Amino acid sequence: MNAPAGMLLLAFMVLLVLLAWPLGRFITHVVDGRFAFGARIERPLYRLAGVDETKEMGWLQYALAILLINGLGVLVLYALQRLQGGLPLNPQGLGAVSPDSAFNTAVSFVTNTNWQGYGGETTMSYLTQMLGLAVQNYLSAATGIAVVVALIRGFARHSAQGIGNAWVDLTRVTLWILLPISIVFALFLVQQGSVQNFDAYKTVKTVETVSYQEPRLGADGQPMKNDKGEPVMEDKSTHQQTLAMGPAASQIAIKMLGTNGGGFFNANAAHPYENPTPLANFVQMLSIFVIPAALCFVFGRMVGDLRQGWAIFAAMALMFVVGVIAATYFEQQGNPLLAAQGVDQAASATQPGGNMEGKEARFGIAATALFAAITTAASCGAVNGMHDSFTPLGGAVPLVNMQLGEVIFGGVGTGLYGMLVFAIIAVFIAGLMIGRTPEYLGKKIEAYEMKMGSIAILVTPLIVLLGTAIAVMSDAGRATLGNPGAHGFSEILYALTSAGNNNGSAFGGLGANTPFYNVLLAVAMWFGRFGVIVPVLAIAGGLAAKKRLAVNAGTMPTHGPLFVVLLVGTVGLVGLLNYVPALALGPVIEHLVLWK
Amino acid sequence: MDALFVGLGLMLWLLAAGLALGCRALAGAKT
Repeated sequence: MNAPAGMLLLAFMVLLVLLAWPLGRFITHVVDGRFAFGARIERPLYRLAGVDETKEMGWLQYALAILLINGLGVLVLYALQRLQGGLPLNPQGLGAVSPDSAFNTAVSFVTNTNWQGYGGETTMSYLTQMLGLAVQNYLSAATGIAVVVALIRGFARHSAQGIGNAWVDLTRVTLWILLPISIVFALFLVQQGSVQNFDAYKTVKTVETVSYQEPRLGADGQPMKNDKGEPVMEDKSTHQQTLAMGPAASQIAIKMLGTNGGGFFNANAAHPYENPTPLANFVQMLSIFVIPAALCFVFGRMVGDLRQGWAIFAAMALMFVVGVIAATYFEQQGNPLLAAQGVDQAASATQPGGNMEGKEARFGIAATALFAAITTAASCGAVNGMHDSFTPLGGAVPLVNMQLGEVIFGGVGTGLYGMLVFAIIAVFIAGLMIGRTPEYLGKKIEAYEMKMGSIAILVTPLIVLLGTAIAVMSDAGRATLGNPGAHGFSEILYALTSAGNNNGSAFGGLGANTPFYNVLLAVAMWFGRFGVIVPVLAIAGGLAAKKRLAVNAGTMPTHGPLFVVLLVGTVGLVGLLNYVPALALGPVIEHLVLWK
Repeated sequence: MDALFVGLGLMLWLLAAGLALGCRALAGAKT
């Protein structure tokens, strides 16, 4: 890792803390119901919806409310995509989205995954983007924050039956946290050069005629292959270019802030209208982490001990920095096959050096590797480069970030509740070692919490590994692979890892817009989301009902460096060991073959 | 085709709700 890349990382971490600290204070204020201005506006909304905002919910009621609004979200988003051809705000006259793609996309955006089997500018009308996808960007982000706030209440309260009111939490988070920041952020992006309009696409004449090749598509929309299994290419030339338009900036803002990641355009954050400048790129990276980092401080404030929040923050930051350094180092090493051809891959005043394949020249290696680590540590999934083109071990970093369970800052809310489940398991393991009943923040960790924690931790590896096995064993799963061998395996493993952990970034190289992958990945996304949320809320309910024990000489401190190391070790061992054999079959083999 | 996917969605929803009820039953079994 060279000095500019190191300085970029340092600047990022410093600014992150400076932004997350005051935001954490404000979020605590809002979710505690102490934002008086907001309460005046909320009250008529609750009356209109028939919600009694003073009524607390038990964990089961809270979970069913979350399931209800998310289930309705899937239905509405599916209908909107299927009917968009006859609806307004569709200047390109785009037709109905295919049923399997519409189903995949509906589940994807509701679960905060935002995996995209489709290309935004060629598939979705402006109405679908705004009323369907953007609305779910807000709701799914609010869902994550509401769930983690409910879990924190479980720790903070004692002998209580309720963990909050889901409708109130969703309303407050959406109206006073996500919306205001998104509005300011969208205006900033417009100032930087993102588009925000309802215009039809523009056709412009290019300076020179461009010749290129593209795969010939069959009747099924997939590239045709010759006898050798290679794609059939056809020569084309053009002197025209279509510039996609649309209300992009407003969607990009919440896409980043809510760790959603679904691009308005197919190229996502590599598109110049979606990520116009290096400054926009830097601010987008900060916006991905700012709420997950702020929630660490919300946790500390709500449990009445800020050191607890700092300990969680430190564990996340430690794992994140290691990932960034590794990804940047491997990408700056370049490709040995190119070195053998005499290609100069050394960094110099005229070139960034290293592996620039699949990277935007505007951003270079440091800002692409940092973006990749951020977007996969958080469950964002926006990409500003092609992860498929990373070196094997450089590409393994995003993969591992996701496989750890999206707990390195993670998605808004989801990262913190995932990490708190790991914290519960860490104190349980420590309790076993010293022969004491484990407790965390004064709450006894008993059999029920461990059962729920085990479900929450194991559900995603089960989905990912089972799904990968199904895909590699079936003809439909292998039919749309772009590469053979270990790299092809990585493409499938990455897709399932991304879906199962609700990240949504694509490695690339895999044609995933097929009925097989649309259904398989939708199932993975759904259980990767609600298979974790449900047991987490069960833990919240169980903890809230318990008494809070006083700290005594035998209590294991959970705010110091020892606990941070224990927590990082638990995440590494419990989270990653499930995937070691799969990683060995993908990026590890590929690295050994490439560097033999 | 639409009915198939709406049905699949409903099935996924019911399984998630079933998981919630299962977790609740486990809590009941403990106490």
